[in-house]
Amino acid sequence: MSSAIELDRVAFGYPSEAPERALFANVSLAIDYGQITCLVGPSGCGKTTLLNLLAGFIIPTSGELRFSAGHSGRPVGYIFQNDALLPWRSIRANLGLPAELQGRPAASDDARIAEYMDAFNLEASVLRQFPEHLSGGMRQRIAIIQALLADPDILLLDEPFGALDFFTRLRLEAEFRSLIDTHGKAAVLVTHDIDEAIAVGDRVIVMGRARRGIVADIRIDLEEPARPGPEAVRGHRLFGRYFTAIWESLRDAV
Amino acid sequence: MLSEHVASARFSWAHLLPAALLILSWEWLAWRFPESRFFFSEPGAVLMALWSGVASGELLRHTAVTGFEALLGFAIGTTCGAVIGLSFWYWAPVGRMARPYIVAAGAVPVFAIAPMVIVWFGIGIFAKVMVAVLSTLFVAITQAYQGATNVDPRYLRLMAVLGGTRKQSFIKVVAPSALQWVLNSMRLNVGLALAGAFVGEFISSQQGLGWYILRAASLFDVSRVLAGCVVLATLALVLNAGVDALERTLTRRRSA
Repeated sequence: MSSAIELDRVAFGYPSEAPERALFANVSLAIDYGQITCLVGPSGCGKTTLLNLLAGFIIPTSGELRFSAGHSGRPVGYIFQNDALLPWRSIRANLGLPAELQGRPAASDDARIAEYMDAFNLEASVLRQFPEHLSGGMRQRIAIIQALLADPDILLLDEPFGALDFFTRLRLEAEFRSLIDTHGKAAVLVTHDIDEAIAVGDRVIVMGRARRGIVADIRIDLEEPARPGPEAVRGHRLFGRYFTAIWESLRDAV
Repeated sequence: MLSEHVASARFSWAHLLPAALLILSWEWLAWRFPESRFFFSEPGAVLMALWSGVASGELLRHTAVTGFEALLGFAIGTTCGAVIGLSFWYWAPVGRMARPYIVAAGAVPVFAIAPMVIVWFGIGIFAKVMVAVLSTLFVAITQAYQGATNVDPRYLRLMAVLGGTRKQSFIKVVAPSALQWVLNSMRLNVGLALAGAFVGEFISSQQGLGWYILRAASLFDVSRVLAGCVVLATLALVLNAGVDALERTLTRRRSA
């Protein structure tokens, strides 16, 4: 499987901190297409910072990030914990932002918007509404669609389902998983929830505090007989085994 | 939030209650202490002064002059201030360099520089407009700059990750985000523009409400002074209603 992005001995520390107090060092990692890589770890270990490095919001202190060939810019989409939909724009206008910024006609995304809206079980009437009129779950769906319309190779998600109720969360996890399976994008998802990491992830990276970087890299394989949806994954015979493995790594990571 | 504020500012008969109480108390004091009429006049006399001023057209003419000076000064000062304040975000180093100067210049009372403005621009209407411009400019700059720098960083990060340029971020995120701050500066500047035009007229003029009030005061005609003040306050309310209408139009367009 080809890699969408490779991190080679990446380190990051804030300029005000001494080098030996860097947030993390020597993080080497390859993120593959068609997979959801979940980042878990205790608060302050640098999960979101790593995501911000991938997004280009900050630059690494040392090391190298290599994106797959054939892209001029940084081919990432970012979904924030609390969506960043512009409140003064209608949903349609928010979804039109990627086309506007890329200098394409607004109508050029109509077919894809309809496709994604359908995939996320959103009605067309939502397009006329404004972000403040939508629930948190609907706004997050729109934020994911907006990111996809820019056609990124990699989706970066910073606890996107963390603020949602349990039912909405399960539905969104299932829809998101299905979308990645269909479109073959790479995704990096930061989460505090081990259940969620196992439910949607193909791989769970456990990060440790105090410059320990990656302390465990656990492949999730729930394909026998077929990967259950996130709502049923907790009943899978391997769920407990993966949960224990992640939990023990997390305990060591603190 | 904004529309709620505007809605709560809509007229209700209950809003007239404090004015009615004030007028009744004032009338009673004038009746009870007749010698106080020299210092404070009485509601009936102020009403008569208002009526005679309106009937002769004198008060309307002075109101039109002051209104024109204030409105033009308000429009120029607020527009230029908003453009300058927003551009300080776009050219951040210039903004950082200019900030202390803007704060210092904005702290100087317009009364202190108004005489110089008269020297520079003469005693005509243009000088009063310039005093009104100076009264409003710095508030507009400061508010627009604050609005621009208070943009939610998530929006700017979203623009960056979607491949937006700095110019696109400015047009699509920073300027619309700062709109509320610009509208707030307009609300503040309505009063400041009127005060600026008034101060300009107070220092040197032959027309306008400032001149009308100053002349009445020099004749100890308290009724006419207060009639001028009532007209000035009414003018402020009218201009404020104009800002309310503009605010409703802009926010309706944002949510259309």
